[in-house]
Amino acid sequence: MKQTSHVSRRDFLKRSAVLAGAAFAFPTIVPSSVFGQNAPSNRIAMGMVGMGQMMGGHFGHVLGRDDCQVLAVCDVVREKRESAKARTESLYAKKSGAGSYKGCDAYIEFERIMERKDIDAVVVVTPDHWHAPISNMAMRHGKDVYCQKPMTLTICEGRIMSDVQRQYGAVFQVGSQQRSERAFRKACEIVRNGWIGNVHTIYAGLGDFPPPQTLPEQPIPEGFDYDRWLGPTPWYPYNENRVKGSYGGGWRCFWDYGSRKNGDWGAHHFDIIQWALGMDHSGPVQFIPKGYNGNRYQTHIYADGTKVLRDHPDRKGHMIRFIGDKGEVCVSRGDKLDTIPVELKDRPFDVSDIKLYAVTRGHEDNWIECIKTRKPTICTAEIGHRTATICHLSGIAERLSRPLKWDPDKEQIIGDAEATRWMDRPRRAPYTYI
Amino acid sequence: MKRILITLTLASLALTVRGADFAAQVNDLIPKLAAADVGSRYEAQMQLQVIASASSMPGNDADRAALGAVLAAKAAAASVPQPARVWIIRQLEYMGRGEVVTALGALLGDADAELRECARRALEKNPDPKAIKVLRAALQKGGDTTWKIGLIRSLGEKHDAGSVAMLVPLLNDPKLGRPAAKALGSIASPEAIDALWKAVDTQSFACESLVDAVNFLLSAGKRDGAVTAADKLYKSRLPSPVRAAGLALMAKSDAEVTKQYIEPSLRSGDTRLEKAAVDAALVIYGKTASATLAALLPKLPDSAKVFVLNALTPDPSAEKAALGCATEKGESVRIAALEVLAKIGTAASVTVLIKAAVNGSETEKNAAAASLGRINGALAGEAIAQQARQGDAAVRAVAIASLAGRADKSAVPSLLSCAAENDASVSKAALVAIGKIGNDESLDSLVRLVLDGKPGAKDALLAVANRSANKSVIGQQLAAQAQRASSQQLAGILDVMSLVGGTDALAAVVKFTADGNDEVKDGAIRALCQWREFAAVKPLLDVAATTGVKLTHQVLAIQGVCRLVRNGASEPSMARVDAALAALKTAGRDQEKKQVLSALASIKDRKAADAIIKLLTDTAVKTDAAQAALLLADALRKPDRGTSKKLAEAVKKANISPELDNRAEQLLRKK
Repeated sequence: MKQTSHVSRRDFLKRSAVLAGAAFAFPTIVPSSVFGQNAPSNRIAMGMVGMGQMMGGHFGHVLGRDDCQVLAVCDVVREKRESAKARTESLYAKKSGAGSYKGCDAYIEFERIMERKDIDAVVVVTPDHWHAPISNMAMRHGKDVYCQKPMTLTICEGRIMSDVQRQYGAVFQVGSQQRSERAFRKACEIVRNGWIGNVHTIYAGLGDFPPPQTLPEQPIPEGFDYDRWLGPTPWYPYNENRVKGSYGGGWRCFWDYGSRKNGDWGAHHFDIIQWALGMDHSGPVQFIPKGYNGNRYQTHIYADGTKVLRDHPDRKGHMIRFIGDKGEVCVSRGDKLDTIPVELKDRPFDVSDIKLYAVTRGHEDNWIECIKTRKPTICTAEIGHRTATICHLSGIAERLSRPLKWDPDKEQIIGDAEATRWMDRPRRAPYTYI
Repeated sequence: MKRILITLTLASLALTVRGADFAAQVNDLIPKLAAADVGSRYEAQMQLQVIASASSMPGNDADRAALGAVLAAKAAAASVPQPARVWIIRQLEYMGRGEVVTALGALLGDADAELRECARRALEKNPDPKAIKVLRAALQKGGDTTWKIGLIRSLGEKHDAGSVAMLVPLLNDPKLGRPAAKALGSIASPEAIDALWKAVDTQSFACESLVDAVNFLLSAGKRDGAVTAADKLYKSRLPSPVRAAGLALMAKSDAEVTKQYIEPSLRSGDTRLEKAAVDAALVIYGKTASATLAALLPKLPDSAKVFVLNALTPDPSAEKAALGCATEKGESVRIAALEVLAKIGTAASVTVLIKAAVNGSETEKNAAAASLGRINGALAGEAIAQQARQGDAAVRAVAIASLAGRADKSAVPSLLSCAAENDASVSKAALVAIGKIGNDESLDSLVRLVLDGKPGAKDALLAVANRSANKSVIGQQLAAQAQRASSQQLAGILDVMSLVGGTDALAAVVKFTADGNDEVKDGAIRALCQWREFAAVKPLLDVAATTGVKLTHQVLAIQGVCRLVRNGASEPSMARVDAALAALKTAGRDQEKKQVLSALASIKDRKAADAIIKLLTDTAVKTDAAQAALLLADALRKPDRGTSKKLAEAVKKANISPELDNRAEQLLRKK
């Protein structure tokens, strides 16, 4: 159910020529002679999938860059995709000074974007259950991908995604943007360099959502492809509260579409903890749900005994608190960093100290720079997968009300065949691809 | 034998008992799972989920099987309401085994599409081999497109080679082709792979299924099949991302054969293949990858050179090759070379890096400077320090900046010498570097440089002092130096003393506030006004109260007191109030009185409130007093409701303006 006719390569080139000639002066970081005439080192043609609340910042960012051009938008809600198309065309018309511009297509089906050879890269900002199918299809079609966090709905999806990224050579960024914030990087560097000694305990504040609900059926709004919104997840009657994208609830409350707060904020804070501990290619070995044997806080434990406690209140007003045997680091958004001893936060790095990947601009900019240079992004699919694995295993342990043992090398749940079934979820037809 | 029979009988009996218990529990939940009030179903759903989870704990297989049998029977029973059946089957997805297959298999033919779909999903997860048979039979039976897509997916997930014959003809179906290819890729039998190869020219999706197939074969330990398919993928004319995947899989399957593909791929001119070749080389050559790739560098196109350079690791041949690339024609190659030297370079790379940092393009300068800050190979640090000590000034300045970037504290003495030199660029670079990495030990020398009037020395001193954990010791040193300094020199360090603070420094500055030299006196008063510690309040008040004091100095002193009162949250409230009131006494002008009122409003204490209330009748400042009163009243609303009320009522009583009355009234009404 394509909304607009497919644009031929020739049409696209015509449009591009108009834009390039008029207002787009594209900075060339890597000369086109290096990566080939048609390489994306000049301008990156973008497809945007999922035009809801979370896309707002990404969309504005891409539209604001002269080295990117949005050629297509996609959403299951007619109003959202049409409005995004109108915004894109209006902006490009203004930039080109040509009065009008018709060069952004609006689709319900993301598959139409994947089929377009003139699109280089895709931004995926859907609910979690669509991240993997869309991103994988994009990478298999040779596109680069920015995917919102958490990267996946299941552990198996993550393994596939990481393999696809590596094998097909895609440039992939997970939207765990705290990695691109100075304070979080500095906190991780302090931990990695052993400035607070051996870290034994970490507190992370995730908060909580209200419990999921069983909801009565409501009429599906006009212009909303609800079946496609549900996609691979089990069918439920439509209700507004199921699908809305509220930060405080909506679909984020339901297990069918994510791992609740573990997937929501865990994808940020557990990600930073993984980075700080140097576990980007591994993970914890045990997951204990809150309430099990009187356990007051959801906990996961690394092989060296380091414990991560969710929502322990003594975080000194911070999002994450690392406690070592020689000091502490507390870190939050807004560039907030506190250390014990206090001078650690201003201590200069020695040449032999570990310095972590530092982005020069923002998280999305890092992705775009890497598309041009083909270097790894700051948060690759493997990193996103390992972080999401923690989110999912925490969720599985919570749902099963029992602890899980995990082998991060083999990526297997140990000694619990039924829990192992949760490593992936069956997919509702016809949305069975991954 | 008899014992075994007894055991089996007992086990069977126990199972029956458990089954009966479970049946009772489930029967109780069924009406709730289908309650007319949809919202109330949630609790029952969670109860059933808890029972299912508990029964499926490791070691609980008898319970799991007993509950599975009960749930399967309920799922199959048409008398059970549909919403309850749906939730029951959802539980079976994660705990059902052989005992549920027949019931779920029957549901595959149910008229209710949701029940059918739930049963399919549950069977897909069921590890019992019988599940495959019922899924296969369902596909044979057919149905609408969506239904068939689901069954195809399930058979693929089961890696069911027995369904290949059914799937192959579907490859050309417009709607079933992609799911069929996906399933064939998951099955990855020789027949499935053959079929995919045959379809690849007409169905573009078949190639990704071939990649999936190789991945599955590798995970299943079927290396031979994997090698054949991966090799064919790499050598095909398929799109380069697919060929790149073929090469990546070849590297995992057959290192020897893959070695032959590295150089041609690197020279292909296709960036995906070039990058894939580098990644493959890292896999197959391991520790020798860097040297192997470095040897190829001269033969490669620029894009491949960039990828290779990015991948180099410390190795003499790699460093040599990178140094060669650092002077190539292509800028991207030069930059990649300069960047990688940070990781692999030794003393041998330092000259090239410094030259690029001095003479290169802006991008090269940045890349080289960054690398000089990180390069850590043999004797690199010493080579940079050597360049910092002598030679061309521009080179020395770059080397000096690098020492700061490296936080090389051993270089601080040498940097202090450089800072004292006459060459302005060298001295300035050295002082910037000291500002970044200097420590307490550099303070004496820095103070001397400040006293000598070296440009940039004061900034460096401030930066180092600001970082120091021993500010009082620094204060002592500064005070001692100040006693010996000339009037001209003093001007340079008085404001540093205000930053550093401490008793000795304060005493020294206070002494200078009465100095006969006007310049020194002015500098000292200004330093005192910037003091960070509350101890400066008294001397500041003394300055303000001095007979014949310059108006500027009096104003600055009162401002200094007000700042300390406002920032002195850790000081006793009484001391702050007293300080403010003393400042008020000395304030000759309304402007200063208003500042004092603002400072008083920051003290959450009834004494401050009383002081403000008294000023509500002072014609000159009553409006500002009322503003201050309302500000404080709002701040005290929770901690001291009584005083808050008193302040607001006083403002109302003062009747200064309708707007202020209105604000006071609003505050009084606030809870």
